[in-house]
Amino acid sequence: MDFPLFLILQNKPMIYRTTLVIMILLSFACDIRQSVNDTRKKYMTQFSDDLQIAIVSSSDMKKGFLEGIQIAIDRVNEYGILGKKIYPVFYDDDGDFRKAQSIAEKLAKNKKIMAVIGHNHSEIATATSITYEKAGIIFISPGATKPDLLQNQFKYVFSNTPSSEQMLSRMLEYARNHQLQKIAMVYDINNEMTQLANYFMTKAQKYNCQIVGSRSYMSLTTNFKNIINELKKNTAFDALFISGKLPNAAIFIKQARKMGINQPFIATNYLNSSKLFQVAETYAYDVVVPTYFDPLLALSPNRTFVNLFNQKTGNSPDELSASAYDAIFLLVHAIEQSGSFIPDEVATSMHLIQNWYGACGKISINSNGGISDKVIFAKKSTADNFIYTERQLLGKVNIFETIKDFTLRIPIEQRIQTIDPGLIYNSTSIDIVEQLFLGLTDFDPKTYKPVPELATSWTVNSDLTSYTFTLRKNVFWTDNTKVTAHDIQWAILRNLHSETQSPYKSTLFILKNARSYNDGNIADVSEIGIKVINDYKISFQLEKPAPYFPSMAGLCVFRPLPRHTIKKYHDTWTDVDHIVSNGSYKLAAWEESLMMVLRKNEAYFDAKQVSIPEVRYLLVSDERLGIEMYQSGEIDIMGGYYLKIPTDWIYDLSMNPSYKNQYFKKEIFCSYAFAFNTIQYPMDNLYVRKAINAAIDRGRINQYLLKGKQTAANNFTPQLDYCSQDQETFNSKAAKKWLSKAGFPDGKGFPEIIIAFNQSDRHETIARGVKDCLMYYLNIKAKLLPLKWEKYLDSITSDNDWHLIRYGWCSDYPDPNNWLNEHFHPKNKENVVRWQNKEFLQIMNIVDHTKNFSKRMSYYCQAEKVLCQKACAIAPMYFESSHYLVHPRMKGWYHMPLGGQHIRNWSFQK
Amino acid sequence: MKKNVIGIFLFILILTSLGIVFYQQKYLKKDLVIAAVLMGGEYNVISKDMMSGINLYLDQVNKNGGINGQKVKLDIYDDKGDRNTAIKVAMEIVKQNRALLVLGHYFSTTSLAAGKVYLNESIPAITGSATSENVTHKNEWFFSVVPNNIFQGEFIASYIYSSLGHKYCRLIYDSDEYGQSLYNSFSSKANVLGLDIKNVWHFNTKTSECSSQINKIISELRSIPDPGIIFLATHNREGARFVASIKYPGSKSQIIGPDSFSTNAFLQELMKYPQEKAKPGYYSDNIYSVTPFLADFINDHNQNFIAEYTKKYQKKPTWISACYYDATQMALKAMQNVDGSEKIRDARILIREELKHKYNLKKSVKGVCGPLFFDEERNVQFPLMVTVYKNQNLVPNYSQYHIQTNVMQDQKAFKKILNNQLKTSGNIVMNSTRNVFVGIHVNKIEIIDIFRGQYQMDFFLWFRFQGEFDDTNIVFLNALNPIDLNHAKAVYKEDDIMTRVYHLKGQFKSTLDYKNCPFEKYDLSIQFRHVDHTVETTVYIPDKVNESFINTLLQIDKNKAIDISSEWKICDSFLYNGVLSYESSLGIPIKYHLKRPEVYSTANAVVRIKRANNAYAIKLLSPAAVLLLFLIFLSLTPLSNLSVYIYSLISIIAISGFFLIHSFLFFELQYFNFGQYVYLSIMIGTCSGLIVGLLTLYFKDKKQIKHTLIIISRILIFIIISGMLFNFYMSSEKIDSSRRVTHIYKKSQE
Repeated sequence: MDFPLFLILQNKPMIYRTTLVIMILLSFACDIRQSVNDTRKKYMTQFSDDLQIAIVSSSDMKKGFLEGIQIAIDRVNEYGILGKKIYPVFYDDDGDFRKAQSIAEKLAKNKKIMAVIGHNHSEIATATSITYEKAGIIFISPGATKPDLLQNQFKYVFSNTPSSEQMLSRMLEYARNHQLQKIAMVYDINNEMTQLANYFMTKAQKYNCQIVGSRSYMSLTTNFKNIINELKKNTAFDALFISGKLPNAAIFIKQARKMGINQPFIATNYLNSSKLFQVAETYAYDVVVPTYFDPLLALSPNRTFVNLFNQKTGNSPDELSASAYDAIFLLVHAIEQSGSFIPDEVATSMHLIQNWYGACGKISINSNGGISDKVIFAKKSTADNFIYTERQLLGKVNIFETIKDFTLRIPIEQRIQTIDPGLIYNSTSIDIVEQLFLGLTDFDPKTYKPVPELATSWTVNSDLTSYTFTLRKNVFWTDNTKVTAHDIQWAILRNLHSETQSPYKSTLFILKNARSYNDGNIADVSEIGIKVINDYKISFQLEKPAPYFPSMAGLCVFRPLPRHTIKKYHDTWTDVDHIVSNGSYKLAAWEESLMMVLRKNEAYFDAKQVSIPEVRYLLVSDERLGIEMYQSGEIDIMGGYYLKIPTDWIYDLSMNPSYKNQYFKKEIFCSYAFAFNTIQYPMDNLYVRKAINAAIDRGRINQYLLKGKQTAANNFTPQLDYCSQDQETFNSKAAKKWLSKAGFPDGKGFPEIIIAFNQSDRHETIARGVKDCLMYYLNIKAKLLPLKWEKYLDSITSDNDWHLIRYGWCSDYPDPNNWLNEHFHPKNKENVVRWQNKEFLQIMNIVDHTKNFSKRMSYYCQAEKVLCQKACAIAPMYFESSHYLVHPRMKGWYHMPLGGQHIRNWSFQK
Repeated sequence: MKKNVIGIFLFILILTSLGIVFYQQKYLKKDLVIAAVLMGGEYNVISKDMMSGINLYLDQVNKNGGINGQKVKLDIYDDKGDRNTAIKVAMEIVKQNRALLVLGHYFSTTSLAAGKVYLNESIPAITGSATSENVTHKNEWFFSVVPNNIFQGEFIASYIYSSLGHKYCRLIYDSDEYGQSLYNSFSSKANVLGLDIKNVWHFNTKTSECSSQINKIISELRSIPDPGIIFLATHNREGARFVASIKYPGSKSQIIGPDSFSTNAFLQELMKYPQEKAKPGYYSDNIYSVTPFLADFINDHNQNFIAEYTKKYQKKPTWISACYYDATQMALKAMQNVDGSEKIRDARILIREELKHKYNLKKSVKGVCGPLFFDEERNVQFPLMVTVYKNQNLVPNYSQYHIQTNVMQDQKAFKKILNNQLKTSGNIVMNSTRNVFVGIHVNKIEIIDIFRGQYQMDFFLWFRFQGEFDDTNIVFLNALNPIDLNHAKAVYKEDDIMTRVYHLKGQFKSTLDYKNCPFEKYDLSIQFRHVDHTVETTVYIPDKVNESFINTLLQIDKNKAIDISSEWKICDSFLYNGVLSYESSLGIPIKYHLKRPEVYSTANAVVRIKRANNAYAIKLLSPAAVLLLFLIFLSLTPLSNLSVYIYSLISIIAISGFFLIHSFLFFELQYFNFGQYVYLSIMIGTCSGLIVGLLTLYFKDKKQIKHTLIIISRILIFIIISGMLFNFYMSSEKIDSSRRVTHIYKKSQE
């Protein structure tokens, strides 16, 4: 740079600069530019080439300006703008005033140039702006932050970045938010820095800040010891404001830190540079600077830009690149708005731009060509880089716009009916409740053993009938009230109450007198086996010894509920506006037919460990659509308890090496079976049931209809598969024999039977397979009866007209009690098979009072044999496996065979 | 000083040699090398078959520019069929560090042993012959392009039950790995199907009691009056022994064997028994066996291979050649992404990944044995061929299987599987292809219009098939008028095998090859296909086995020549099958955006005729002979008689030109035939002689030059004439009027 000019521009008082501007103005006033202006206008109305835009970079600023421009132009040129493409003409002013001026002159004469973007030095931009204004060329400077550029209120001149002063206001706001009331000031006596310091001082009061002292230094000073000493001795301050340029300001910071000044520095945008760390090295900590760009902004223009920039350059974008990118799009927006390329008209519509969203966020153009309404961010330095403070990753929930970088997107198959922990019954809801509400216990994903969650520990008496849990004291509801043992007691009693109609209430019958209370035989709640010892201690008394009780205690019906909210809102307490929860996530939006949005609960006791800020459960009813969405990156995970992977895709996915690190087959404790209606003719005949059970060719159904990706089952409880391992249920010869024994040789005289299932392609395929088997091996006709979910639930629990019904179950807790006792206990009137088997009842009674683990298991084995063979009330089909597709960006994902995977442990791969 | 010179010289020498070594290494790096492990010594015959298959594909690829512009080289190793040598060979391949992948080994034992080395060293290997499931089990680097024993066992069980229609069977197995795995998969499939295995016997060749075990089995088996079908899950030697004991006159038993029965070795074992030697087929006739490939069974994916192979090696390919052709094809297709610039380890990983990408029918490679795609254990699964021995020849049985696609879309598929309408084996679902044996005997050829390629034929046509089949629903592809098959001349039925004979007459047209005219041979053919059935459901097979039977039935005297006008004589007649494909825009495939042609099996009968005497040739070529003689005479005339020479040449040109033009009135061809070529060469030869002769006019005064030129002119004429005739002889390519593969781009409306 020309040295004397540099002095004039940088260090001399205002008068020099004003003189200079006037001189330039005078020199141009003589020019007759009007003619060029007119030819440009004429050219712009009828040109046939590409639209030429001049891009003037300043190669001394090693920033991503050109990359930002190029990405924007590439994007625009994909579709064009009013049918034209942008043809950029590149120049470089080297930060040199003369060179910049000659470029401006040259451009002014070129009628093809419609706009100029660049000249990122404020001074140069200010000077050249006059030329462009005269020539009628639109000029946008994405880098100039000095207000001088806009002081003339030119028509064609714009800046899409906030001024340094606007940014300083944000610093004052920061000081206010962090209670930095007493601020000392240090500034460079250079005119510009002094100006900023003055601005800071005059505005300070408005933000409740007090300037307790101020010192200035010369621009060339490198030794600040005296100033620092003085400040240290004479002034007590909370923070130090520094208005200076690099490198001197950085030297100041380094020396100050060395001399024991540990208060935070508040700086201007001039220190927002990596040079700060180069000069001040590790002393550059706790310096707060303003910036107008945040690379993690929950806005789609921002995400698009950041991702494109990363893809193209492999680096993160800086503020100049973002602002350059925005400049192009602002211009394009204005062109489109005006429908013309004539600079005059485009400039007019530029001035009218309000609430426009770009990579830097929302901006509006004000009358002098600058911007307003711009959110400015604060960055704070650590020893080697800046981190954004007070960052709000997510704005208001917009259900139509998902910010991929912050949002985990999970497809679900069915509408979520409820998220009331006491009323849920399907696995998707259970999974969501797992994120929203804490249970006393949780399962270790590796050992499936209960581990503390809301409880910190528990004790049990010697005969395994009384458990006492101690609760965490740092758990709060989202409305800041404490979660106590009373909430648990209240919730259990509410779920037990017959009016609540909790589908899982039978699980609570393990508690002493719970069943009687539910039946209405007992009215006094104190007789039920729950005792609140104090706010953080609760004990349970059980009907029978239950070594598995700690696992049960984590189930949803045992979870504390916000009684104050439920009392207030009743049935509507789970609405978005009412709900109060205590888990790692909280409900943010819920559109029943579209999606449910959860957001990180900042009040969660371990919130620091929660990495993913937002989770969206998207309702996708078609599995194939789900696969397409996964492939196009619209969802992050599918399979398991979420939207299932289509059966005919599983084999291909498991074989395709491209999905090697995305496809997972995992074991789950789920069983797929058909239940017999044992009281319905002809299923009331044992030999009929045995014949049907033996005629189902599980091997081939599995191999050809399920593509061999499930394990054919010979019993119902997956954990007890070893009891019947050597027993092959399918035996067509035996089936025929049994059917004859039942009085239907070759199926003659056998009525048509009904096979019911809840509507789904998969269930229908399997039911049809069963139907075909019965026809082929036994000559029995069957009719398929697909049922809507509600109707299906109803059919399971009440006498309905079906002979075989699909019956699937997944473990709530890893004990056969959950399978055999809870489902097929003959005294349980709602047992699906409607049986009254005495042998089974007897085994259940014995097992209820057996504490020894292996003995209990051998009794359960016997019970299994009665269920599936001797009395043949169930025709087991297969033990399910979970198939997952997990996007590689997911980190820490794990499979939970019992369901309820904690999203709080997952994160996105950086 | 001297030392210095020597030093500098040495330095330069070292530098250059280093340079050369470096250059060579660089050059070597660019070669794509694959290794093939063959077997010398007693297995030499097998090795030759392996090599011919490998080389056929490799040469095709290299001829077309190789892979990404690089030629593929083959390193050959010999494992002697021995386990320990196989390990040594594998170590050697590792040490050489050149081969991107290994083709082989032949035996399961050698593959298994060497496989461990390949697994440790991460070298992909593809076998086209080792059928033990253990070869690829737990070895991520080993692939097999031949269905394994488990698949084979299941397949045979399905075939016995579904296509041979047996409800029970008996089984003998060798208790080694081969027999055991066949037995296990066979019995579990039989159980699912409801095929009753009445007896199971096994023996152990490794024990001393083996012989007594076998004798005991034989005596037990002989005591059963109607043993039904017996599956011999044994190797060929023991298999032959059982066959020789079980098959005796009056025995009702049927025998089916695994792939070991489809080898020459099995026949050789049988030939050790005098009965088989004296009367070929005594034991072997009607024994069923399976094989991955049979050259007589032509369909749309193996026809090119069979044609190319037969052309190159002058013999039919065996299944070994076919499987190793497939292995090579698979290997080279997996190498498409390798450009030789990557490290060998990375290239091998790339190849393995690419092989793993062939995991379903859609992504499969069209192999000559069947579609090649790997299951979880890196094995292929495709329907095997079921063959039956007739006169020591393997003949495809009446029913074969093909893969049924889109099974999941068909709601009735499971029902069809249960009632055996669809067959299953391993993970694949299959449907039947019917083999119809076809015979044509030409009685008479009349009205031969050679110039139009039209002729009339009177012939017998017979079909032999199992069960019911609408044999009359065929279309003659080269008939001028439709020929109806209304009345069968004779019908013969044995069990459910039906033979129907028709006596037909019709006008046909063929594209004839006139190239060698007047010494040409013409192929007069009859070609037909079924109207509706594509090659998936019906394949026509030449009925060679039944020919003698039909001859007796129709009182055809095979020695009596076909009745034909005296002008022509028959030099050969033969029958073959082929395929005809239509690029169709009709039907389902379009829906899947696949350009899948409709392919039909065709049957073709050819009678090759040539002129009975040389009268025509003499008539046609005698003027040329006269002209040539005249030319010779002319060349002997004195050099000074220039004007006579020139005028003679001009007249020769005129005469030969006249004959040439005249010949076009007969032949409307795109090419010159031999007769025309003779006149053309005389004309061009003479023309060039004339031009040189005319040059002498410029050298009036220089006698020496003049004479030289005239001598040159005279010699030139003969050089050009003989050169052109030689060129004709060298370049003449026969027009293949009896093509096995025909492709028509648009299906005509029928």
